[in-house]
Amino acid sequence: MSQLITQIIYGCTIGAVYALIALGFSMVFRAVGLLNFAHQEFMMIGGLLGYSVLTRLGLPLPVTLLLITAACGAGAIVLDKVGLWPIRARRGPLINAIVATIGWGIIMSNGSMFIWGPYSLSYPTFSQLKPLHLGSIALAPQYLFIFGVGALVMVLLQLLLKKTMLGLAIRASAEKPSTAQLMGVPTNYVISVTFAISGAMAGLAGMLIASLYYASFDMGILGLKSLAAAVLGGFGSIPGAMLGGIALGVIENLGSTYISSTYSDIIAYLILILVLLIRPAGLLGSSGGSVA
Amino acid sequence: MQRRGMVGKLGIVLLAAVLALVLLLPPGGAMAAEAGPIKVGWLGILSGTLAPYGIEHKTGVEYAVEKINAGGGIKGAKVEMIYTDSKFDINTSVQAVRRFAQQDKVAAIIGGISSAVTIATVGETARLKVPQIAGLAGTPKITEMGSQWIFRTYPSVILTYSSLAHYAIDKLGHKKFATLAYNDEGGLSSIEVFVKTVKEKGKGEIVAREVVPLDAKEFKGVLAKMRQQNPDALVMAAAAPVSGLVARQAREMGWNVALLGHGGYQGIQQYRDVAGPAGDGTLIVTTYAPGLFKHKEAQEFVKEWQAKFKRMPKDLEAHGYDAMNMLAEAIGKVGPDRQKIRDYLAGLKNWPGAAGIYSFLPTGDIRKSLVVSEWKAGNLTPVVAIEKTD
Amino acid sequence: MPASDTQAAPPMLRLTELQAGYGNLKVVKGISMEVPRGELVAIIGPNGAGKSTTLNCIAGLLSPKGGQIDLDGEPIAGLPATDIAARGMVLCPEGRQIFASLTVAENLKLGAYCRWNRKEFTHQIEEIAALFPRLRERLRQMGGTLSGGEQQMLAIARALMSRPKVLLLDEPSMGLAPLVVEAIFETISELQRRGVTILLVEQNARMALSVARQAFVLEMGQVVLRGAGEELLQHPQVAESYLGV
Repeated sequence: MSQLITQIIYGCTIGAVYALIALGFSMVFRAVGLLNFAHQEFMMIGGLLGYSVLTRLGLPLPVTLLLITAACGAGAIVLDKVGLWPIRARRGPLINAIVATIGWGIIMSNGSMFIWGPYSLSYPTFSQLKPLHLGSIALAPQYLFIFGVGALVMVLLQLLLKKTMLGLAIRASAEKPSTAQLMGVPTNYVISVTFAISGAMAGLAGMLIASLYYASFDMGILGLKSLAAAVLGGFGSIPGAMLGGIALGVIENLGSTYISSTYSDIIAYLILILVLLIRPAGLLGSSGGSVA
Repeated sequence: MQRRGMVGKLGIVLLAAVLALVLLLPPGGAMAAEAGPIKVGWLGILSGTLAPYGIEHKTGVEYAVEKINAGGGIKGAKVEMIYTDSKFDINTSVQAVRRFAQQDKVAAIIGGISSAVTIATVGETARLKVPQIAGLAGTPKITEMGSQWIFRTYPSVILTYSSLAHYAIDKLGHKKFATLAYNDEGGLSSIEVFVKTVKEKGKGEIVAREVVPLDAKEFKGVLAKMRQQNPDALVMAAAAPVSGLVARQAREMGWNVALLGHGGYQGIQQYRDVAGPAGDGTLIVTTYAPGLFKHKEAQEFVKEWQAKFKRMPKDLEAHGYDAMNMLAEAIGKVGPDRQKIRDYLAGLKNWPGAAGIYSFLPTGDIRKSLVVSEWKAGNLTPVVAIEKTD
Repeated sequence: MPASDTQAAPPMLRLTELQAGYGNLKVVKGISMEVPRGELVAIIGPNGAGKSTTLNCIAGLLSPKGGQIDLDGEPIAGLPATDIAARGMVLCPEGRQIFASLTVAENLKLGAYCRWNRKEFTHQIEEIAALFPRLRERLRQMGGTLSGGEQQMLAIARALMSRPKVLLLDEPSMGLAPLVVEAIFETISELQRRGVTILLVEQNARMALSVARQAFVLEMGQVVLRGAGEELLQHPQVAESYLGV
């Protein structure tokens, strides 16, 4: 029983990281109708940049987290303004914009290999910590930390979206951009903010996951799983992205513990497909696309 | 897969075009090439997760070539290396072998890093009749495919994992083993050998066997499941960073099981980097430890390497160095004739190299000295040499 | 009215030879009109005459292909919709375009985006509630759950939140029951009495002409008739084509 609880907690931790990335996929999709296949690479850049800042500059972890989050947010704006917006502004076909994101993703991951090399770089911070004992459950403390940071960011995001004028503008622009413009909402600015939030969360997720495992130029593949998580929860739905991320993390972990580690991916994706067959819009998705 | 097939077809068409051009060239070109340098093809992974292996092996080869050419080459002819990144891709590797053999006219090929890719090249070098000294291919298969043209300086997992099983039972007294393998050729065949040896000895028992996907990073569930069987030791066969995570997560769970592994996996610095202090205490059958072998060639190699690189040589560096020198000796004795090179290599017995004393079996497989090492305070420390293996 | 006065105060909205369209298709072919300060002006005409295109062009959703638009004496042609909204002209678009996933209160809040002020917002909500009592009970409901008439009220209320100088209304009667249409038009008249300048585009010519001080009949992208609302109601051509007499 305590084993089950432990595995669920671990699953939730990975799931929280999936959710952070999934949110970005969803938010950008809602804002500009684009599947951004460069998105997961911001997670990779976050992981690698975080490694460099921690080891080279020796800044403390919380400062580094903030710094990397901001850097990846800024990077995502640049990606959009330089690499995607011109296609959108001239009303290029959607598929062209999607292919452009794939291209940018490949450039980012290969570029990172040139900068950081093909190595797996592990963070110095966490590995010395002793496991926490809660009754019969032994927990590595960084899992709790990561879950906590992930949950905090998701709560902050919900507050931003629900309680601020900016959040209102983001939700309105996502639903009816030209009507939002008629209300005076600068939708281009709102789209940049959306990219920034997505990139920032992906970068943060990258650091969190790298602190748990390691950072490498090809870790974006893990972020692509988050796309599946976003779909599981209902693509475009923000609470759906959170639920989908955590569900995928838990399913994977329980699948590899109790069924077979070899087939954990197969199990996870079978469940994903099964959910979609029963609920084609995903767990919390609706065809109308409710934001909250 | 379909797409790769298409690329393959296109590649063949292009290759045919190139071949046609080569055939149309005046014969003088071919003559000039004969008098020129001796070309050797090197193939290995230089990008991606497995790139550290390729880079390490290449460094050793490069050093050997540098020394050979500084000493006037092989009977006056310089060695010219053609390095190719296999990108861990079967198609790229096979194409490279064809180009080496037909276009570059190499005397021999060194390489194939990683089992999956190397297996694919063995048939090709046999068909084109080019001697191939595999770089790092843990799988026993490459020397079991019936090719006359394949050799290895780096022992297969048969040698390392069977030696590990003997050592763990006979010297360490372990009885119950759990195994964790990467879901690839190298990982699966390693554990296969270990399990088989334990069963044949009749003294130990396998209590848990797990296979993990290549991109897995979270192992706590798998580890918890194994832990319930209460094994004495956990035997790992997965790439260095992944094994590092396994070690770290085991200790994070507070599980102090003995960790056993193999030099090509857990003997790499990345293992200890990722594992952190949790990696200390892991016992590893390695194929090499600088300074542990007492013969002259091994000692001199370490001395010269240290003078040049200001650090100790690594496992694959020593093996790459040996592969090149073995080849240079063959070419020096019999000339750059592929058939003669093959025959010469096939006859090598007790050849003293930097990474031990080598003897080829008729299959092209190797018997050579091994080392048991342990990670101690962040350093891979040799514990004992296994001079004779079988 | 002395001539010097009209020079000192330009019309609130003036279109000069406005041309607009989509791609190579020209839909609006040179329209000139003035909307005087504080008045309600209507544009009527058949489907496809270019009425909505004209409004979208004025509101900045579409760039004009020629001609001028002046808001309160300043040229605004070609400015983006966001800037035009900030200058105090708001369009209630065709089909109401309520944000279905936002609550009624959030829709209203968004209407005040240009001049957001929390204190004033509370105050304005009261004003709106007085004007549209039915919206008061529905503040927490999702926009998508309102009836058509309520959505139209919300669309007008949302536009009013920015306290616009000019309100552009595109087909407010569309798809609504006759009783609801009457209520909406009563509100529109009331707004005009309170001093809001209104440019109204309508297919329901009878309703539009009964509230408009001045009206323009648009056909094939050109003004074919103009006159006081009452006058046009009596005009035989209008009566035949648009009033079904």
